[in-house]
This record gives sequence, C-alpha cells and structure tokens, in this order.
Amino acid sequence: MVNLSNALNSSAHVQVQAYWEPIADSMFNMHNESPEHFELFDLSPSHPIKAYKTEAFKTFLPTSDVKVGDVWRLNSDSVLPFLQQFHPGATMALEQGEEGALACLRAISSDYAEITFRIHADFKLESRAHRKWQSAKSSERNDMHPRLIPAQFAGSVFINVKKSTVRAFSLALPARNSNMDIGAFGGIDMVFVPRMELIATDITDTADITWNRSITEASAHKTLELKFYKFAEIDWRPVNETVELAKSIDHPIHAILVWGALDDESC
Amino acid sequence: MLRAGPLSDSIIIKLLNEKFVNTWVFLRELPELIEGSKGKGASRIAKKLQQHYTDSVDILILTPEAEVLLHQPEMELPTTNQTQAYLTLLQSTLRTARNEKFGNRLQTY
Repeated sequence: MVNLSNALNSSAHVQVQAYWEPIADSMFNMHNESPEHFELFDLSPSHPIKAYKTEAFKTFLPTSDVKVGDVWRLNSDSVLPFLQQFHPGATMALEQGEEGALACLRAISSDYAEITFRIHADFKLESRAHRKWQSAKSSERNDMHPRLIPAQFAGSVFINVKKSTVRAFSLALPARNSNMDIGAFGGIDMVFVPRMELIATDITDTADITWNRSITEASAHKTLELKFYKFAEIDWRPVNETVELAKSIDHPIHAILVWGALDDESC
Repeated sequence: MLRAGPLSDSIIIKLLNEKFVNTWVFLRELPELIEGSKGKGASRIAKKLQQHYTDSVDILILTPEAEVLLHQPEMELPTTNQTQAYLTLLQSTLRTARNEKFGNRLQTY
C-alpha cells in the first residue's frame, strides 16, 4: 500500500497545451448543414496553453492508501477546470449515461507513480441562432443547449513522488471513429474528432523506469471500464474472431450493430 | 437502453458468456468489413448485419456459419420488463439453434 495524498506539494507550475482538431468525419454531416451549425461546431481550445499549479493535479491522487490496480472516484469540481481549458461549457452533469471520473494506480516505484484515469463529461454550447431557434419552440424544454458528448477522456498523470512534481500529464479523447456525439437544432450526429487532447510533459519515455509494481495500460483501462459499465463483464470479441471461435466451440453468435460505440458515452 | 438494461443483468451476462460468442460492430464500419478488411468471417457477419439494419441498434443472433436465427431491433423490444424479454429471446433462440443442429444431424443420418 502507498499513500500519495501528499505527493504533489511543489510550488511549481505546469504548462498544459490543448489541441482540438476540427470534425473530420460524421454520419450525417450535421455540423456543415447550415452556417448556424458550422458556427456552433467550429471549435478550438479556449486556452491553447494554460499554467496550472502543481497542486491542481492533486485531484487525480487517491486520498487514502492504495495499491496498484485500486480504483478511486475523482472530485468532479476539481476535474472540471482541466476540461474548461477546452471550453467553458464543460460539465460533468450528463443528460444521460454513466456520470463520473475514476482513477486507477497503474504503476509505482520508489521515485515515481503513474495514475490512469477516465472521465465522462459533456460540453454545453451557446449561440445566438440556437437561442432564437429555441425561443421559437417555446412549447418544448427551454434548457436544451447544443451539446457535445465525447466518448470519454482517457489520461494519465506521471509524478515524481520524491520531488513532488508532475513529470507528464495527458487527457485525451480516444482517436477512434466515431468518438463524439453532437446535438443542436433538434438533430443529432455521430462525428469523429481526430485529436482533442491536453498534454504536458518534460519526459517522453518512461520505458527505462523500473517499476516495483505495475499493471499494463490495457489492464488499467479495462479496470476503469468495468467500474463504469457492468455490461463490460460480457466477453466481447472483435468481429474478425467471432466466426472461427463460434465454430470451434459450437456456440451461436450474438452480434449488435450500433451507430456509436457500445463501450463509451458517444453510444 | 440496452447497455444499462438487459446487458447489465447478471443472469444475461452469464448466459452470454457461457452460451454465445459476443461482438458489436459500428454501422459505419460495415462497408469495409463487407469488402473483407478483416477477413471472410467478419465479412459474412457484416453482410447479415447490413441486410437486417433498421435503426440505431439492431441485435442479431447467428449460427457459427453466420445464418441468422434472430433479428431484433432494439426499438421493438418491450419498454417494460425489457430484461426478461431479452432473456426469453436469448433462451428461445438457443433452443432454435439446438433444434436446427439436431434436425441437420437427422438429415445427415
């Protein structure tokens, strides 16, 4: 067991860069449907570079003793400022789906620790055209903001425990197609954003570190996924494996066709 | 919603893990799968999924040879007792699969 609650007490600042590329693909091309749609969904980071106090990253640390593989819940209010670097409309209050942010201790050594996390968040957008459209529909809900629903934000914090510093940080939308839902003017679409990422690093390779204990990144991600979704306990197989496996064990195939990914919030 | 409903039920998860091979596919990936980007088996499954596509979520149960035993659009599942309905579908399809197998063997003999 290790206690990391006091691991980030440095007074140093950490420069975090934000990247947000335009929508590269979509199912219905809704973001280009009209100049009003284009205005809403032509997005870039609110703060391309932002300096955080080291202690801001304490939000990703466990508040009690943990061992490698343990999972803890993150405080949404403390996570939100990171997401607001992308857009001030970031919210952890989802209209539907599995809310929250969870972290897992992936690796530990005498000098370093690496924490993997997963965040579910939406972004509420605003535009004059949408407000006008909304007011014309006065019989319906008047709190329907245009919205971005990212699949998830996956990330990690790599810290020097001895020096109380953040050595690397990343928070990113997984780059798979589709990875975001968008909604506005009464319509929805599933889109692909190639890169939406916060990143800070003063090292590029942790391969030389000898961890005392660790689990793989894939294992850490699976651990977090299982905490969010019970359905992740189903043994889902890639479609290219199913026929051969079904033949070999003589089982029927249970296949689901979906517009968005089944295992994240853009479903 | 399928994910938070039937697919999060412990009995259904156990049945799916013990008696089925489970997969899910993006609608937008169907064309390249059908073209063979991930092999013949995936192409056969993708063709069947495309033939039965109706809406945002479609459920298919197929034999190991990729013959369709059941097509169930999620939107047509009952809104009440959805988990029980899904369990009944899986169990009845398993019985169909067993009967087909038995029938085929009788014809062979």
